Amino acid sequence: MMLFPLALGEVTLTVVAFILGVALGTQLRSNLSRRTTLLILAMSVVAAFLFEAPIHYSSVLGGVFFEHITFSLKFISATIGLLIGKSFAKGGIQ
Amino acid sequence: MDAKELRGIKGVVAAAALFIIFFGVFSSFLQLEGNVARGISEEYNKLAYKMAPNNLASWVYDYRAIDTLLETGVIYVGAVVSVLVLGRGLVRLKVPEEDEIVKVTGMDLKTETMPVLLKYFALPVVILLIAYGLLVVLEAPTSGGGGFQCGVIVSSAYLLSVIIYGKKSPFEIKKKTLVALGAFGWGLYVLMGLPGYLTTGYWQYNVGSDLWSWLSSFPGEVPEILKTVFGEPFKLALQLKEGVFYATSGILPIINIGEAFNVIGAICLIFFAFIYGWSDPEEEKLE
Amino acid sequence: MIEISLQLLGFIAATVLVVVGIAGMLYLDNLIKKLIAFTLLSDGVNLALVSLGYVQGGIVPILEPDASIFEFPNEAALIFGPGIVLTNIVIGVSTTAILAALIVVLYRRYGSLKASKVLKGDRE
Repeated sequence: MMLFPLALGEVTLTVVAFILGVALGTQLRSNLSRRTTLLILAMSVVAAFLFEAPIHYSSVLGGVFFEHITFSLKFISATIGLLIGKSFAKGGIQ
Repeated sequence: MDAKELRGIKGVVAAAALFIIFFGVFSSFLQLEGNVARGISEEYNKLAYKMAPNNLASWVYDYRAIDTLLETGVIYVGAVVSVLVLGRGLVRLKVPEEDEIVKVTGMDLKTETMPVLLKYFALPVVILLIAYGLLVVLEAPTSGGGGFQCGVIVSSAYLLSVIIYGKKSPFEIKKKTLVALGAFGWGLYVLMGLPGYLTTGYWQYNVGSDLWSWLSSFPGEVPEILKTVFGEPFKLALQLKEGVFYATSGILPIINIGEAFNVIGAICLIFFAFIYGWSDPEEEKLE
Repeated sequence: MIEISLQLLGFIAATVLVVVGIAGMLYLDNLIKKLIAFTLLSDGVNLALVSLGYVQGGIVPILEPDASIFEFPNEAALIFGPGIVLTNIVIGVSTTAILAALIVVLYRRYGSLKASKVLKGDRE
């Protein structure tokens, strides 16, 4: 698999995932401890490894690091977006 | 009719009827099979092989947009009708007297007696489910995902959160927000038919999106770094045996996001009406 | 003589699902069971549409790297059926929601889920 010099629109979806995550995250009302936040991030990295980047992606910016080690960066950015959007929401339960 | 009544001759007749139905349905399925062209439609591959990232998108090119528009309409109408049916005071064919109405008590949800595992893992799972839904909708042009799948995943996260945490649900969406989400999704979807209509004359025609050429007509040049990092949005390189082709899925990603919002709104609205009976917890406090 | 393939098995399973659905809708008294039978029927139709696109020794219809444009259409499975199924699932969800809402209203009104009582208009 050759690496293209240009990220052909592979970053766009990651950014869109982040924005949508912030938008949906504002509906979450809960206070998370730092340990739970770290747990969610770690789980999202594991899940991103399991989901893999799509087969047409071929750049590091799209999540392809080596031939068989690919991360679905959209998942991670969506999770980070949700966590950031949650901090905008007022009030918290728990 | 009750199943217990099916004894003796009645049962024999019922079984015979089922056999007739079985063979009728089976033969009609078999006849279906002969009338379908094998493989992907070659016509689409000849016309659009430089554009379609996968062949879901190839047959989909002129058909999927309008098809999915009807789909979103159907799901929205379903949500509205079930809310109307379940709603209080909105539809009453004949007002039953007070003692005739069967009192339905709400679900008994006690967060105090919740198992520790659920208490600590439900919220992370809800957050990861929403992220998964977003992943599914954004990978729609290159995989089997789509707006409806995303909507179902996110609304199942909503249902999970409501069922586990009860009225203290952390993923609590007000019904006005839900209605707004659904309407916004449908509106975005319908408006995305406009670019295709303006350029080709066909509503919902899938046109390629070249955002940079649009932006350069505005005052101020787009920086080169932005162009390099973002490439062309939604554009992919296909490495095939015949060479490298560049493919864009056009307006399909945006359409899918619109449909996802619509389906989140509609299905959460259905769940909302079934759980709360079309009344916010806040409104109950006011009463 | 019809060759016994996965497709034929799919059609048989679909037919069984449809017939079970029809039988449940006709012969069962409980409204919730009727609803479940209805979803079985719709699943049967979906299965028939999906198995319509089966190709003996075919490949998954996603363009992978190093595939050939000209061989691909002949090898890949038919995508049209699953595409229709997507629409069908949406319609099934909407219909199920409306039916369930109707059942809830009927239960509130008659205090029973039996179709025979609802039809007679008995109230408990």
